[in-house]
Amino acid sequence: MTVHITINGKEIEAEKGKTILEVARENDIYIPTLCYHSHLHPIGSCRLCVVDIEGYPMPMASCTTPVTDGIKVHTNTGRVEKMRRQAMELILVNHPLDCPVCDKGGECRLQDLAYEFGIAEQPYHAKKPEREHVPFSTPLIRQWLDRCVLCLRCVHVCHELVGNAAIDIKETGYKSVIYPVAPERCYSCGECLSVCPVGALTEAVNPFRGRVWQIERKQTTCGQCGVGCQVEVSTYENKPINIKTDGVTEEGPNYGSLCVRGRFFYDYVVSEERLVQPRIKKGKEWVTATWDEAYENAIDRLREIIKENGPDAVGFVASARLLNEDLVTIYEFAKKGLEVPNIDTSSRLDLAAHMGAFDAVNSVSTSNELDSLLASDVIIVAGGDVDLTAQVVANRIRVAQHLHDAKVITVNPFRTRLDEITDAILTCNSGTEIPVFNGLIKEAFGENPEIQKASGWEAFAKQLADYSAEAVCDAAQVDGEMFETAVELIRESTSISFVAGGALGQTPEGAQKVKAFANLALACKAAGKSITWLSLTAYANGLGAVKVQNAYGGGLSYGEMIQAAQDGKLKALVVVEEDPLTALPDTAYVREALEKLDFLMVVDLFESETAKLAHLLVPSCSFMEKDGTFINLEGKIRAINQVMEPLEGTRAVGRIFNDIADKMKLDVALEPEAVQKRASDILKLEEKGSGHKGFFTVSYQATRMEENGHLFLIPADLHYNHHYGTSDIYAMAIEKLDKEPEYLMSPKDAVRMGVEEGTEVLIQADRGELSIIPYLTDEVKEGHLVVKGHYHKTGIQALFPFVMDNETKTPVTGFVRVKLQKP
Amino acid sequence: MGGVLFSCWNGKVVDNREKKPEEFDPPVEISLPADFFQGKDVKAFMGWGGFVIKDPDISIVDLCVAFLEKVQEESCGQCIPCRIGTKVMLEMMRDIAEGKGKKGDLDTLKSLGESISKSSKCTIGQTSPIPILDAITHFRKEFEEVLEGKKKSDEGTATSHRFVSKVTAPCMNACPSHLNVPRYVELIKDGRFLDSLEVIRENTCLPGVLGRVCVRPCESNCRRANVDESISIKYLKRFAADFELDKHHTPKLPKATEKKDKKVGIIGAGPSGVTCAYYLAEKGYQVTVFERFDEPGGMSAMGIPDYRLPRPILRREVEIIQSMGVEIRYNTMVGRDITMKEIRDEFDAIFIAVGAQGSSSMRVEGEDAGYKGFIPGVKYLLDINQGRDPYPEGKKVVVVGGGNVAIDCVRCSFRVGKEDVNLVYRRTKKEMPADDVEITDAEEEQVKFHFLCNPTKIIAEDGKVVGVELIRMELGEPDESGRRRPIPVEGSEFVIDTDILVPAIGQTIDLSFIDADTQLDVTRKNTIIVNSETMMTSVEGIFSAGDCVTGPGALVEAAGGGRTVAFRIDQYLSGEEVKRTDEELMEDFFSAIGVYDPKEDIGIIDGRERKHLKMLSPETRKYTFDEVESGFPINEAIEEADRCLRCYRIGLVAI
Repeated sequence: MTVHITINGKEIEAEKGKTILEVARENDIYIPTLCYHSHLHPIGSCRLCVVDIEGYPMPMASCTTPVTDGIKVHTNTGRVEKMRRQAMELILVNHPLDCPVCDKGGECRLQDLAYEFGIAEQPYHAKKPEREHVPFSTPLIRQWLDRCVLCLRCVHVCHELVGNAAIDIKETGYKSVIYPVAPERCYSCGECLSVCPVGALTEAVNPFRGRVWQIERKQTTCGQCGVGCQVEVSTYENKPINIKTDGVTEEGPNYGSLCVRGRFFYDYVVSEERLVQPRIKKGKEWVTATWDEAYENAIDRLREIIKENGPDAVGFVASARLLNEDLVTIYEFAKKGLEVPNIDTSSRLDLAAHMGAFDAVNSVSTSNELDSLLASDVIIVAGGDVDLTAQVVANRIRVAQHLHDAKVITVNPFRTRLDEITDAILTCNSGTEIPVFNGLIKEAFGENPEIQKASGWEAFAKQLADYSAEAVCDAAQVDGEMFETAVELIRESTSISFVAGGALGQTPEGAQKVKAFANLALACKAAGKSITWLSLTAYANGLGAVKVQNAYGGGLSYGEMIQAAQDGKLKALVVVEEDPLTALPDTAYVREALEKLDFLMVVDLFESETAKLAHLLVPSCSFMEKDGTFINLEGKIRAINQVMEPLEGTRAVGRIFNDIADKMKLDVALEPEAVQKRASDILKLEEKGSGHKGFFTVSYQATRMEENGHLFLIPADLHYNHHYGTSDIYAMAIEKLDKEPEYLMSPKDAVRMGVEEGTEVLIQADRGELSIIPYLTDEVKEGHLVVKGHYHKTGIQALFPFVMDNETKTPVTGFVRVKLQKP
Repeated sequence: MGGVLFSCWNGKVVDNREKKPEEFDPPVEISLPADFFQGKDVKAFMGWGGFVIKDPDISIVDLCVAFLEKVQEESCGQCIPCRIGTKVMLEMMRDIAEGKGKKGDLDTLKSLGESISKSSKCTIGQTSPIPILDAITHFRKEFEEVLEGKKKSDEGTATSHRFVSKVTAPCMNACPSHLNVPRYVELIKDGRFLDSLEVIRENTCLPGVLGRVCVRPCESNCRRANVDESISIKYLKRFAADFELDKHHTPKLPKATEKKDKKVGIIGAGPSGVTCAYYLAEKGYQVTVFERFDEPGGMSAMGIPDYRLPRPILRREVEIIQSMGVEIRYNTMVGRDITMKEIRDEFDAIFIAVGAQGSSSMRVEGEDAGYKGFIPGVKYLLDINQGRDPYPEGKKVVVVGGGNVAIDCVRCSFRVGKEDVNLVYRRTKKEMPADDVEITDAEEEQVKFHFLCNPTKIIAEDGKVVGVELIRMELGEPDESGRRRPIPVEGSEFVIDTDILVPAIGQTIDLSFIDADTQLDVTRKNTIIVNSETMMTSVEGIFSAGDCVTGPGALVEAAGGGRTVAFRIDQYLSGEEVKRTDEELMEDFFSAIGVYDPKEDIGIIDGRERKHLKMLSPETRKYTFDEVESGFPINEAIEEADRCLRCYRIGLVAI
């Protein structure tokens, strides 16, 4: 619906529901603002945007006033101009004169406004209130009380988008101050910092600074996880000094939001720990080498091993955080150049369990876009705490709820922060997700006439016979009322989103669980609902890696190569920016396997755990130092733009393999143009995928829960908060945050096992033991010990046995039975 | 108590400064109550519309300073003009009072004040400069004398006085429980739904109940109505309560500061009783409630049908109260299962909150004959609410009355399978005391209304009702209630056939449980007499409130009464003087001068329609007890809350 209005005499047709400010901006009519932010519900605190409307005695704040038909707006009457000027003069009462040393200097909204209004004198005075300075809610941000204009953007963003309410306004009148009222809830995501229009919140991580006119800014895609957030990296003297989103041209997928990783963990790229010289192991010692020596070493050893054992004895493992172009180079080099069959990426560790489901769901017209969350009336999240694995996705879910009351269903063995806004919290025993999904399908659609016509339903429905609500709630220990609510919500929805978290696929039978979840999506589709599917991946280029792998075909999988090394069949392994020793279960087993290799070549930014075992270690570059593409979890190609020159002494992966191929005179074209062409051809390929269509037959075997003295140890998600050991653990912010892993268990188990909160206990598994301090909470179901923390930091991977999942050909990383012992 | 020396309210000035007291003109636009509290006279008042001075010794400069100090205390800090601007005004005013003022200060104050009052976000900032500007305009000479150091601001202040001040809003003042409506509505606007509920719980422990069935005096005192339509305050309250429930949150309750060894017995687990129990438990008292039914809620459970107030909502809110340590003894009728004496022996204080649960007599022939099919309204609802059809063989129903109970009776009748449902009322629809919304709902559900007629005789055969004789009425002159008095038209009698006749013309209070030793003073209408200051009955230590004191009234009034009694009992058991607090006195004072002005031109842009709840269609709902209305979706609650004008304002009196 449209309305007709005039602004300053100009006739405008405007959309009903928009505010005067929005309409004015669309029509290039300037109204000054300070508190307004396009990603937030209008705040209306600064009063700079007041306008006059003919016939109404009171001026109106244009940011909060919707347009109505026939109004005649004036943005620059003498009266409102005087009010704005006075408001500005009031803001500047006691505002410090530290602009020359303020981080925001040069890009400060207040500075701009003071300049615009030409305010050179201060007609008003008030005694500066004495305020106690308390630390802000996160050590990553410094708060400057005197610089604050109390626009309240920070408070609103923390409530609206992040759902945390860690900060709020405290005191009244002139003493009012932004205060960390609930610092324990703060995620350190820095959304508050991002929206602060002045220098009241500044980053407290990086000692390097640069004034706005000294720095360079370039847009790129965040290299942390698979969401593919668009960011702007500021660099000064070839060092990144901050990451922002204000200047990002494209809105999606993150709409200015970032998580703690994306915003603060960037400086690892210039860490002192970065490798800047190739190294060759002589005996047990490292010897530094020139690039030519390193290349020669690689060539000699690879040739020798291939000659003696054939190309089957060689394997390549590449990180799914590498660019598509990097991966194409490595695959071309290995597959075509050396004719090595064995090559895999780390996307095996999380997306492998999802891909069958992903393809089947996508074969029935499914959206994979984050934006579709906003159009969904129901969002189902299974597998992990989205707030702590992909906070930007969680932020979008909160926006969906505020925008049109989207309902949320979660399926997890423990409570998550998202459950604070969840309508049906299906807290189930670990391993019982399949019955839960089956039960939801049966109860929501068993009687649906539409679905009876869907192909394959009849056969599939037979599988569901045993999954009545009662049976499921009993087997999975799910609350009956919650289950009923979930069924009702699914049945009534018209548009429904499925968010499959990493943790769903990482447990035994992970792929089966994801397929059971996909069956629910397929049933919804068959019942006439529109569906959205998101597989969360910890890897920035997870889907790209899958695509490249599919284009070239594989050989042994990542895990199988480790097994082959154990068996002595694999002699040489080239590991590119991946760290099997922290990523895979059963550390002792993996170490032994790697130690058996005749040649282990590691290409990495840092001396990772695996790198320590390498015979040849070659320094490579981060995503900030190269150009190329990622495919994010939406399946969209995202541009990676080089924001800094490669650190002196390092070389990008593409160049390293191109150089080696040149020297070996291999018949492959690895120069950048050829690789780009090849990569773009691969990305254009229609995904053949598994080719599976229709419902999956899912097998389910109940895991026995009641075993005296045992608990199921499950990580909340392997990729909790940031990835694990190849790069960003070198970020300064990690040290500042100093977050210890948390071990959560049910108070009932604690009583039964005689465990006390805060007292050390030993957890024992077949493969090892670990001393922990448990925290007791009802948020965890009985029989479980949930670990929230970084995989690398907990070291829990050492406890997991190396058991291959037949379907995904990857070792199970997210589940082990443990016994608790008092030390 | 003298006349008013000077008053300026809504810009209308009455200046008696040059006159003799006997020639004083009365103030315009505002009239102060005779006294603030038991003979303590108001010496001056300053508030949102201006100021009034009675005592010539009150210094206008000091009054302004005190007022601005309060403004700074209450300014929420959310907008710049109010937060900083009123601080600048305060300091300037203080400087003037201390003789440190500068020439030009008064003009700066005026210019700044005008801007603040036009550009602030809410009414604190919009109204607070008004009395200051008025004072400077009309007392410029006094200000200048002080400013120029010719006179001290407190010179000549012979009488001692103190300032009492309070923030209110039209909706807050109108609410018998004084809920902080603007605050909780704003928190909903900001998406802070649980915080909103916490604010609501400061003043009522029945948010889900009041959010459904309140008669909402707040909404008829809502300033937004002057612009377009009032805010849907009741349903926003329901939204906050439902959010907690729908998203499975454990209620965040105040923790009792310290356990007290004093015990309070409460008779009746209705809205008044449980509310009192909640606030006493919050203060650490040991509370026991005696309830004759097996279900809490009193009239709200027994008298309000499930389609308006689903039983689980009420039960949950009472469970919350029990979780705070309150004991409820169900199926315990005082006078039958426990004597009044036993209660008086066991408890340090007693609160009688038995409500009005009897039905008034129609005084027509056959009423006391015990005919089958003759069922008083309260009993009829009680049966239905306990899941029984009051008279299964009857299919046709005639209900007599025009209030909410009558409407509940007719609407319930369809829901227990009655086919032909009629309502008889002696006046017209316009005079019906029932909620308009309820009347419309009943019409939609096809209740047959018979206006302007009244029963004269019950017609029975074989001891069963078969019809009722009615007489036509016409409306005469208005009676003491302001409604036109119905007068029977002689010879106009006619008969309607019916199986069931339900009189629902009023409720009576049953005090038969009180024994002879408890000498309780009651009125002619059998309501309990309490001291309005102490809420205590004629018997020491026994308090009362709710319908059994006021006669049948609104739930929110009963609940508000229960809350007030909790404070009185606390004072009583702590050995303090039992009396109204300054806060309560201020609210009473505000009520006396009137906070809401329906004629006020607010001057802002209109056209933002009130959001309405989705309802079940009349065809579906009339046969089920399912809740008729579904609550606001989150986005609509936020939009609706965004319409609120946050009409806070400050009043300060010198006494």
